[in-house]
Amino acid sequence: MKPGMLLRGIVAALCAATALAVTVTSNPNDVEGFFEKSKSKSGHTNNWAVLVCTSRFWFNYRHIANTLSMYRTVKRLGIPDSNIIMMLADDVACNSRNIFPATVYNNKGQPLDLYGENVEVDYRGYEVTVENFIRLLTGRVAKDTPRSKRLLTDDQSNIFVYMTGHGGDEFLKFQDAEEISAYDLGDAFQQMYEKKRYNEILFMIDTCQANTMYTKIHSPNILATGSSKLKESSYSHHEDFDIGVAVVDRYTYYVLEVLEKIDMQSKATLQDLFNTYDFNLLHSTPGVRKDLFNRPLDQALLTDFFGSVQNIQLTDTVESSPSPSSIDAPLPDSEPLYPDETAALDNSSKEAEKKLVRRSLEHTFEIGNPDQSQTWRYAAFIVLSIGLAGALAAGSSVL
Amino acid sequence: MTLPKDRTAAQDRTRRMVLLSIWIAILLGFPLWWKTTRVYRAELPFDEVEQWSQWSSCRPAFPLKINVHLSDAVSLPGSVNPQQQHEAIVSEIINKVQSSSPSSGSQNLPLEVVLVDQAWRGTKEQDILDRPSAVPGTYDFYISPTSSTSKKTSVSIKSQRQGWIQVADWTQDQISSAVAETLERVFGSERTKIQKLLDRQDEEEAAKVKTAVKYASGYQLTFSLFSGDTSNGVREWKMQEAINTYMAPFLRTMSVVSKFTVESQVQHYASLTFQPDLDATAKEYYLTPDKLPNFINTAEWSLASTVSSLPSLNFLVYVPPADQSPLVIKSGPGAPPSKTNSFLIPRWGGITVLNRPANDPILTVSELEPVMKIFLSQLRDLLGLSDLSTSVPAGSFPITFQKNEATSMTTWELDQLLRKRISENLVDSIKTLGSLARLVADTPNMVVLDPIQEDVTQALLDVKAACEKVQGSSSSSLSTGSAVEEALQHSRDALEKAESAFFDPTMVSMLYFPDEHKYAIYMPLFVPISVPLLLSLLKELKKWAAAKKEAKAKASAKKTAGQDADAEHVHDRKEEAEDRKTK
Repeated sequence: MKPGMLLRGIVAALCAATALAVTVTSNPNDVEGFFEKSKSKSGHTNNWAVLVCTSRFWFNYRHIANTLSMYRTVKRLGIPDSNIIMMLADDVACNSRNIFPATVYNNKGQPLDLYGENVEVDYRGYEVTVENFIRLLTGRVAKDTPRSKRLLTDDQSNIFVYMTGHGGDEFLKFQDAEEISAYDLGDAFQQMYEKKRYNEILFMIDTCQANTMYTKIHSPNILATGSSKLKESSYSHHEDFDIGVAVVDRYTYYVLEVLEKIDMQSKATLQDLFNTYDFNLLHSTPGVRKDLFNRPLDQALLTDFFGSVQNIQLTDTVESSPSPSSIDAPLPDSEPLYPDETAALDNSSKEAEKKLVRRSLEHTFEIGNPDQSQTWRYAAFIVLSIGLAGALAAGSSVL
Repeated sequence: MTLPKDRTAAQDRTRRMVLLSIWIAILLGFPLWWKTTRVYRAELPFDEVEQWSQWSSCRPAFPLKINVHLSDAVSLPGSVNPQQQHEAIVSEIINKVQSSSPSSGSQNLPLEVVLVDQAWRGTKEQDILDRPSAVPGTYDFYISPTSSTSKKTSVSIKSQRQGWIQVADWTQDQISSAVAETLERVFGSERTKIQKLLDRQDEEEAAKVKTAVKYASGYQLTFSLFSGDTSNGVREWKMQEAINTYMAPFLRTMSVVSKFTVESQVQHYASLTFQPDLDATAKEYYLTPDKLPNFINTAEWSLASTVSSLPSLNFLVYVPPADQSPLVIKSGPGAPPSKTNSFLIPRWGGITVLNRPANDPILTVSELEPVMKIFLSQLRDLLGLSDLSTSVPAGSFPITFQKNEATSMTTWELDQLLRKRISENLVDSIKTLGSLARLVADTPNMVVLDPIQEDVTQALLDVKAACEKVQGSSSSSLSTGSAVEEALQHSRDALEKAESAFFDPTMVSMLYFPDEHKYAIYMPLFVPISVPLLLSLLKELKKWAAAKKEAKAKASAKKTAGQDADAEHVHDRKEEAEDRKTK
């Protein structure tokens, strides 16, 4: 019907655009020139994705399916697993109520198993907490956190942040236990900006009253989009009667419909995606916040966030003359190369270095380390409360 | 009311004592509660950070010492007093350098020109090569009349901080202008770069895609061989030997800046995500540049290393399967193929496509030589090592650069990198501390523990130490020559401390906690307690006031109506005394 026509139109436009791009750039004499042109305007050199499902339990099947669908999409478009951080309760695939064990589907009839064989969940089950999410974004993780649980972005990273779950006015619930507020999110992004941990962020959220979540963001170069406005619910799309629960949310379903049609070379823009938003389909009013974003949306490619299109530079010069020299000793196996420190450093600076090393060892902090907790405060508090309670009891018996 | 009076009095007394004790407990407890529930915030020296961001106490400057050696093979015309003439040449060089450098920022690389008294006797190249300078920032220029037949000025920069200037006319004017121009051309652009960096005017450059990785004290280099399928016959490669031969000298030289961990891997049956196109006329397959960004099959090629947490740089050799070879990079059929058949992904690594005959299962060291040369040049770009031979602007005479054969770089370039990295680290650590200051000021709920304070203080001390070290780098440490390296170490420590303070796990203000929520938590506890307490206090005060009034009335009545009830009088007094205590 109407939306189908629209999509078809977009796809046609895409094809035309790609064809055009190819004809423009296939100037046979100009390999070098091409590399100048092919630089995307975003100015990023790497892509990251943070995909968060904040729900757990069987009846929230659709949220996990939403997140896994996004995971599949960004992976298909070229973001490597090492650059995808997925936070997922991950309790439906092996749920005893799941009649298709070890699978998760996002459509009725189970055409596509999202769980597949190669899903890397970085924060699983009870690790999906507000604290871990904030720590992940701001980089303030404990020292022994493995690489896969760190967001190792720099000033040339584009980050796609996707969240889904149950939310309300300026908050999003995390596993029925706690909630993150729009302020927390805005603060976390601001701290990322302070430390130049991103080039651009696309923040996408599918939850009830989702658009309230991005109202408190105040850092530049962030584009935010949500599924529904204040006092509006977001709805699930449809149910699979074999599975017995809703399998996907409306907003995510229609976003995926657009993303399924693009590939790594696609020139589709974010504007194309936002143009497909339709109240009649979503049953809610999706929002886009672009006042913080510096580029026109019709020039920002979808693959700038969902894919991993890298800038490349052709190598044209070669070092002139490193010829084999027999003097050099072979490198020891997998050992770091250290310089000749004996000649370079005099004694005093060596001592200073030693001191620094020792110092840095002293200061190891772990979350929940008893040394750092303030036990004496609790003790003082307890003593005081006992005293107060005693006095109160005496007083009330007299009064 | 019906109770005897002394018993009521006793009850009153107990009641008042209880009330009093509760209020004393509250009044004493309140400051304790206030102090213990307060957010602990160690004092951070933000004024000092602010001062550093203006470089008000010490501005990093990298003094360069230029030793000029004049050949005495030919004496200068009109030389009367060699001492005077030397001074004249030196001052002329300095004048010319100053007048020929319109670029600002000469204070960042102040030049000190010294004419070495002991004249240089040789005219051969070998004489220069035998005298390397080991001190970063100290350069030797050997000046002689030109020996070539063309009679033109030419400059040759050797790899160990030496330069050989051959001047066309052996006159004072020619010598000084040749030295001045060489200095300007070699150091001019670096000077403005450092100026911009220190003044944080590099914002327009920040918008550009940067090839060089951020500074880290160590990097992990991963060399990977991806072989299309068995049809190309590749079984193994002699990578360890190739690394030892071609990479190790470079890495060893670079290890004054950063350390390197090297690893390699071979993966077979590595397929591309797309089919390369066939150029039927040239009988070769080709990759168009718009496909190169998707060249890496991220889903199947395992490139992420979990061994270390060092930033990693990847170098890939891809050998296509036999039914897709030769595979070249070109923009279309009939176009000239790329000379190196390789490309670079900024901040990530380098990739080269290697076409080879299918009969040999082992990639030998000699076969890897061109590949390693490409990787070496890509590694230079990724590490931010500028290539002087291409970046020096053209001038009135040619400047040639001779790289060290083993390391394929000159110490001039290494020095430039050292100076750049020191400045970057200092600027970055001060920026990080500034961000930390803003963060702490913006979030009053955040706990700031003592280790953070120590880190910040230590970072500032390291910034100071680095700054002072570079100031005196040319003069003080001629013997050791490690002042610049020490400065780098201090700047690295400063950056590490600043980052560890910023990224400390305790520096997370957990949740946004609005005041309404605080009231909501404290109200259920404090309202039920405070209501009876306040009411009973009021009641007691009222009673006391009433008793006082009564006593007054009685006293006046006593005056008029004579003597009455001594006992009550005594009791009143007691009550009064107690009330005073309460007050």
